[in-house]
Parts: sequence; structure tokens; C-alpha cells
Amino acid sequence: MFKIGIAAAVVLLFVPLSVYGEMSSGNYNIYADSIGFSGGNYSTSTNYSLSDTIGESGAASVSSTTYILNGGYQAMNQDDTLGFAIATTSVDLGTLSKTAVNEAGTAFYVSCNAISGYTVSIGALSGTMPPAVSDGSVTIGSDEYGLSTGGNAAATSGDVAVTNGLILASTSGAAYNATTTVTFKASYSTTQAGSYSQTITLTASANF
Amino acid sequence: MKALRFGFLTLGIACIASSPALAFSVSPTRINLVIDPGKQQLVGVTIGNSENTSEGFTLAVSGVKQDETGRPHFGSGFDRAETWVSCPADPINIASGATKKVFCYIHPEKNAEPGSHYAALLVKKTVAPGGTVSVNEQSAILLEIIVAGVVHEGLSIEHWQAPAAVQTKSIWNTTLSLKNTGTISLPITGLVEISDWRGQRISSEPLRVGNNLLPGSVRTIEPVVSMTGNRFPGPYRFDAVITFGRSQVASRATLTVWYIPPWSIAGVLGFAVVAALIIKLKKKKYRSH
Repeated sequence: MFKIGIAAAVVLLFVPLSVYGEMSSGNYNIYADSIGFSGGNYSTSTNYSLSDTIGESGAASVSSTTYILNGGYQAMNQDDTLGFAIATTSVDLGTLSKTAVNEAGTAFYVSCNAISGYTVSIGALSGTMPPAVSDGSVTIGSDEYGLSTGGNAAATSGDVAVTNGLILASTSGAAYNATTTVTFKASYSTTQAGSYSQTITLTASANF
Repeated sequence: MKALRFGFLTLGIACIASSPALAFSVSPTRINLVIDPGKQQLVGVTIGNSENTSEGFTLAVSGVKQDETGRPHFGSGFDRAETWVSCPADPINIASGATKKVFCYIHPEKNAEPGSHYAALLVKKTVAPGGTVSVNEQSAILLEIIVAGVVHEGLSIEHWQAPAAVQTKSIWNTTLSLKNTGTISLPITGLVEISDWRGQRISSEPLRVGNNLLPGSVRTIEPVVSMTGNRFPGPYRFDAVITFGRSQVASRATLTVWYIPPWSIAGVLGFAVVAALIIKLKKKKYRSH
């Protein structure tokens, strides 16, 4: 009986066992894994690439007239995901001053696992603000309004006019929680006193 | 004082930025489908809400085209495909931590032109306006609709220019513009071949031309070219070779630049000075006789 138990234990050591579940930490996410006899290689030639796994159970394709069920590790083809958030959606510049540039900011975060990267741009714009900055800097005592961006993915330089289609951030590869700060700046002279407000829609998307 | 104020502002934004909770997510980010003209197809988009509260979202269809850097630019009236997509008009409420899959119909008209067409699905989070500047967020899913039929692959090199016809430096920027003249998006790769005045190739460098080029789009890049090694002065030929599409056809443009390295200018000047001295000495000798 004891010998049978030992033999069973030895056999079990060499039998592939399934490991289930998505594993994630603060920085990484393992979407799917596989333990089998062999394989797990990625082979390439000039025209083809092959990713292989060997020894999984249930790695087959089953179909009916309505559905197809693809089983196994190689079928775990995860769709690209784009996550987008804005830190604060209400940015208050206060009462504009002739002796200072009023500044207020927010930040946005993007996680995108598309290998082409992502772009965040101004998708829609409405409202009235002081005249757009055109000399690269919003300065005290002049009628100017603009924004600047900061962060590794920031796509503007200096103070720029807030215009429809303006690209604020962009990457050429996947990103995880990439942060871009946006600082709005306004100044005015006596000639441009008034009440101002603006609604901006930021559009995040993967690149083509 | 200004620096101090900027410091506080940056610190404030950094504090805001240190709590990254991704408000919502969409998946997939790009949808590519092939469809027959006049047929209908359903596409699904998953929206995830990672806020602490239930949120409302709306779906809209937008036009999208590619700018000269290869990035998406949203608007309307770019492509007929914008009218082929219909999505649920009602707001979609998603509970905290939940996901919901929504479906849109793609229905190209019977006489739709074969090839690549583009639109975008906009998923917008409903936000109440507030502050001087109210910032809303939306995510776009890029939609490539390939209408089945006979398609045409074509690419033209619009510009291939150097800043001047004569260069004294060994490294300089060039300008290269490509246009997709076909009806389907093109994967592109490129290289620069440099040949001397005898037509003998002296080097070949890969060109970073970027991602797929959409039909009708122009891509402008500024590749850096360099004369490797010690080269003699003279005319050099720079060929931009762009391989495109599934057919792997190559398009070529040629640029000729006179390369005059500084050492050759110094050599010519030195030779001129020496020659002038010799002539002067000979004249002096002749007069003394």
C-alpha cells in the first residue's frame, strides 16, 4: 500500500496541474498562465512567428451553430484596454488679476496596453476665455489665456493656446498610469474685464 | 515670489496626481472588421467603472483621421463610415466596480467603396460643470471598417528634401513626406541608401517611418542622415526607399547633396595660399633677373 502511495506521488510530480486565476500587483498584471510538459517558446522567421505551449488539458476548440469556445492558454488573447481619469474636473482660476498670472491645474492618468501607445487631445471646447496666448508665455498685465503640460508623455512646450484638437499627451508604446499635469493660466488688462468660463472635453485614445 | 508660487502650484498638482484611480476604462481600444457592402455587423465595447460611485456614460460616433505624425485627430465629415455606425442613444449607468458591454451596429451602404474606412466610438463620462474651467473626459475606440472588394495599394513620396544642396556637416536633418494614395491602410517600412558619385552604395540606414498610414493621409517625418567615415568631397545620392502594404512594393525618391567637409575647405584654402606664395616668389625671382 505504501509503495502504491509513493508511486502515485512520483506520477503526480510529472503530471501537469492547472493553475487558475489572474494575478496582479501594484505594477504588474499576469492575465493568463500555463503549466505544461514543454513548449512556451516564441519562434520567428522572416514571414512567420509561432508561440507554442504543449501539454495543456482542454486546449481545444469546441463549436455549435451559434458559439465557438476556444480553450487553452493560446486562446487567451486579451483585448487592449484604455483606462482614463482626470484628477479634478473643476479648475478654478479665481478672480483674474492685473498684477499676477492666475494659475490652476489638474492632472490626468492613462493606462493603455496598446503597443501603438496613446494620445490625449482636446476633443471639444466651449465657453469664453481671454484671448489665446500666442507668444509662448502668459504674462502679467496682458490679455492672455493658455495652458502648459508636464510629465513624461506631455506633448506641448511652453504656454499654448487652448484649441480644439490640441494634443496634450502622447506615447509611442504601452503605458501604465502615465501622469500628465495640465496648468491653466490666465491674465488680463483693464481692456478685457469680464466673466469667463470654459468647458473642455479631453479625448483619450490608442494610436492607430 | 513667482518661483515660490509655481512651486506651490506644482506641489498641489503633484498631490492631486499622487492618487491615480482610473475612473473608467474601455476595451478594446481598436476594432478592425471586414464587412461586405450592404451587410450589417455588431461590435461590442466593454466599459468598466472603477469609481467609488455609480457613473453615467454616453456613447457617440465621431470621425477620425490621422495627422502628419500618425496620431488620431477627431472631428466630423472625414469619412462616410461615420454614418454607418449606430450606437445606443440612452445613457448607460454602471455601478461602482462593474463593467458593462454595449453593442453598436456597423452597416455600410450597398455602394460603399471597398477599402479602409474609419470612425470612432466615443465613450463619455457625464460630469456636472463647475469652476472656471470644467474638464470632461471621454475615451475613443478606433474603428477600422474594411469594406470587402477590390482594393488598391499606393504610396507616393511627396517630398524628400535636405535643408541645402551643399552640406559641410556630416549629420543633418531631412524632410520626408509620404502619402497613402490607395484605398486601404498601409504598413510601411523605410531605409536610406547613400551612394557616391560613381553610383556605388556606401551605406544603408533604416528609417523610422511610424505606424500604418491611412488612405489619403500624409506622414511627415524629419529623418537624420549622416555621412559615416571620412568621405571625400563631392556629390552624394540619398535614396529614400519606402516599402509598403501587403504587396511589399517599394517606392523610391532620390536626393543629391554636395558634401564638402571642413577639412577639404581648409585643404583648398591652404593649397591656394601655398600656390599664391609660390607664384609671388617666382615673380620676384623673375623681376630680379
